[in-house]
Amino acid sequence: MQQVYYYHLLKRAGFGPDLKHMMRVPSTRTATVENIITHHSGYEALTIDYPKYTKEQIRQFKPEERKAFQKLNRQKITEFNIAWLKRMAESTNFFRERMVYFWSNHFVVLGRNIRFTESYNNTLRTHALGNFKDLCTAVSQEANMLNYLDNNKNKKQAPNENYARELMELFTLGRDVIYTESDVKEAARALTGWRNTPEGKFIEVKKHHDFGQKHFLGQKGNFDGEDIITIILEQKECARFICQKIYRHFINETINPPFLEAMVEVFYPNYNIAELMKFLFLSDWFYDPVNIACQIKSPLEVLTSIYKVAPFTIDKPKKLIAIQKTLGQVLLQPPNVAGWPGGKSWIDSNTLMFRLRLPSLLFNGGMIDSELPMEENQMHLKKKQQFFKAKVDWGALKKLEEKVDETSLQYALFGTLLNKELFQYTQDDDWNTHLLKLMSLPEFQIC
Amino acid sequence: MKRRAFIRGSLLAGSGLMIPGFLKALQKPNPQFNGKRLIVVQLSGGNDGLNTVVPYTNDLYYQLRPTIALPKTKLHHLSDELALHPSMPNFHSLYHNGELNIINHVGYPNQNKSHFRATDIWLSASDANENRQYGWLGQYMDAECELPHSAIQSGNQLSSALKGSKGLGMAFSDPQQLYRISNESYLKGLSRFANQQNSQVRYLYQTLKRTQDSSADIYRKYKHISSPINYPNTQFAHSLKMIASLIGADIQTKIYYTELGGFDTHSNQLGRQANLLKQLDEGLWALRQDLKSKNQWCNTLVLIFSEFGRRINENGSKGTDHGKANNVFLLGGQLKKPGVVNDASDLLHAEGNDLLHHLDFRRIYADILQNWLQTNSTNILNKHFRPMNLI
Repeated sequence: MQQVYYYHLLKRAGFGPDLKHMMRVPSTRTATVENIITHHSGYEALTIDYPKYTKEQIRQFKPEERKAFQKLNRQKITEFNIAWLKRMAESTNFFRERMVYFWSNHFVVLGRNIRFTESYNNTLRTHALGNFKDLCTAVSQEANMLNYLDNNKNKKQAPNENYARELMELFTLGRDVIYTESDVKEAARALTGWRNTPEGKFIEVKKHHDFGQKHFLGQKGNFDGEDIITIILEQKECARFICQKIYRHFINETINPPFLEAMVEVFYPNYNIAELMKFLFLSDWFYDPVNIACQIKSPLEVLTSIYKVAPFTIDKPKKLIAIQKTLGQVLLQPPNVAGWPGGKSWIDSNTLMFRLRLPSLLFNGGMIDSELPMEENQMHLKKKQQFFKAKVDWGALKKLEEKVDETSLQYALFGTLLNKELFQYTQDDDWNTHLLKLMSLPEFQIC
Repeated sequence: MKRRAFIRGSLLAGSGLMIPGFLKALQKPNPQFNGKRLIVVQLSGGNDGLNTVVPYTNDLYYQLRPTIALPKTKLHHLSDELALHPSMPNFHSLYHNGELNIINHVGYPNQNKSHFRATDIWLSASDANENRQYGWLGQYMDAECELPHSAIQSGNQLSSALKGSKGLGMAFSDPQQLYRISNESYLKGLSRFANQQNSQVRYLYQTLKRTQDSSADIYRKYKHISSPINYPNTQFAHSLKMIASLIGADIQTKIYYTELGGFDTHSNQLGRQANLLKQLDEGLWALRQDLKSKNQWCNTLVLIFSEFGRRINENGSKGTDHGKANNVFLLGGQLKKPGVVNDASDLLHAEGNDLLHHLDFRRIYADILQNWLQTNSTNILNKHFRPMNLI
């Protein structure tokens, strides 16, 4: 396959091409897609270190201990944010990680407990490429989700409809698609009794569960939560809803209806995620010019795409949180249950200026067109403010300069070739500065 | 917490991308701009309203707050029933000048006590069980504005109150720095490449150009403005000084936004709140003096709010915990009915030590939108709320 399509695939199935990819002559489309799905989708749990208290210990916390526990959780969640960011920037299992990222903005959750957060993230990871029913069920039983949408308060004696409603409205069918208020009530009844222990384990509390007959989406039975999910997925509208989300994330904001229906035919009724993604990546439509370089990068993609081209380390990892904040997306902290809307909503005067300047802030004290030092030890010669004190892998950049031709570089950075005049504008005697100028273009904000 | 009815506030989204219209807006005074400016001051953390506007003749206040109730003699009396916190002598003066409105019992049904969620509700003007994508002032700008600097926030990140579909609004702490940064030579030179086929790329180039033009326009006018007033040396006061100078610069910004944080006084409330209210009091007085000297106080309305009030009783740590209803302040040189707006005789009307609201905060927004900013408030708020008619 041609380079432009290869890089495009890597930007959608992963987080973009790095030096290795740019030096490679791509194979055929079929072989490449097969390779990605087979060899870049391994499962490795994402974990960090923290004390795991038992439920007895947690229940017996004195006020100061509880306060300390909350503080610990906040710190650890920050740590997990950075670990996850690093994972997405570096992992060879980029296809799985990409799907985790996608699902995290679908099954949106906000939690304050590191154990629940870690568990939730790895549940997404476990089921990211498998069966959507397994994913949906597992998510519904995670402590973070049980807390976030109040299903842990849902009991026979006092039903709480929040999760039942959001399950259908946000996670499976779409607002008011085929379900009615009565269905919400009945689903809530079916979901009663699902709880988590303070350690984050899922339990079913029988005395809170409504074992009675339910009427749900035209069916009758003594349904529990898993049955509800099964029935929902029997509706083709669910497959369509998920395919719409996948289309918008992986192909284009604007949906092509015939292609969407083709996706639905693949996804329904088996709901195999990897199979659906394979279908996308093998299709001609995926590589149509209208679907290449058509999306505004999310803040996450801004960071990972810089990293892929110019790997760097940062002295204080917490600065990565500050950068995420300024860009408008802090992992693990979605604004609300609908997640990040994406697209133009990422852009205002402040965020755009920050995006354009981020490479230079990281690597050159905020200056774009003055010469980048060739060696690290020349940095002190330049009087610049070291905003983020990022250390670039200059060696990697040298390799990039030597091994990757200009055309490939442009396809990798922009998905397209710059017009001649604009390319001229980015020229510089110093190649590193030239690269910096390329990364400071609005075009680099598109993927 | 219920999260029903996710509403996308896209009813009013225009495209706002026409550069010729934008340039015109910059060059000529906008005939629709009535010169009236709104300054929003957000007190973050949940300010304890009961120790700010004190029901000093109510025994219950002293009973429920044995250590943190404020002694009568230190307060600034407004009436037979209400008095201001000791740190607010300037607000007291404003009150006597007829330049202050105090609105009590402000809240909304099913009031939320989480900082995150409550702030969301106030900034998006949503119901308690609703999620909205845009802020109330963002929606206003979507309907009525074209310029990026239609709203300016002091700080480096745009509040979600100002987020709209058109991406308007700018946040900065220093107009000169903003100008320097956005008009850096490399970025400045990009403007000739703005005409691109790819619509997403074109959108970015346009946003860049508009930002550069706005920041240049702002700085050009701002740098001639001086302030005859000595502002206190606090970050908050500096933000107000910048705002006053921007107002004096006569740029077409209608909305200014600033924040003062630290009000989450779960423990040792007295000292902390006293300090913060002092900053608020002195900062706003300096602003008032400055704007008066520029003949702009009469064209200015200041809205001060917090995401919730605090409980009537003190807790075990000489502080207070999250509550519900709170008071809201309006300051300005042109208030129609200054003074205390609503009956405070049952200021301690509460449920389980949470003050109950009598007045929906969106009625205040409706008043501001309808009567100050002169737009259709029902369209902006997506619902009809009867304006307070204080403005």
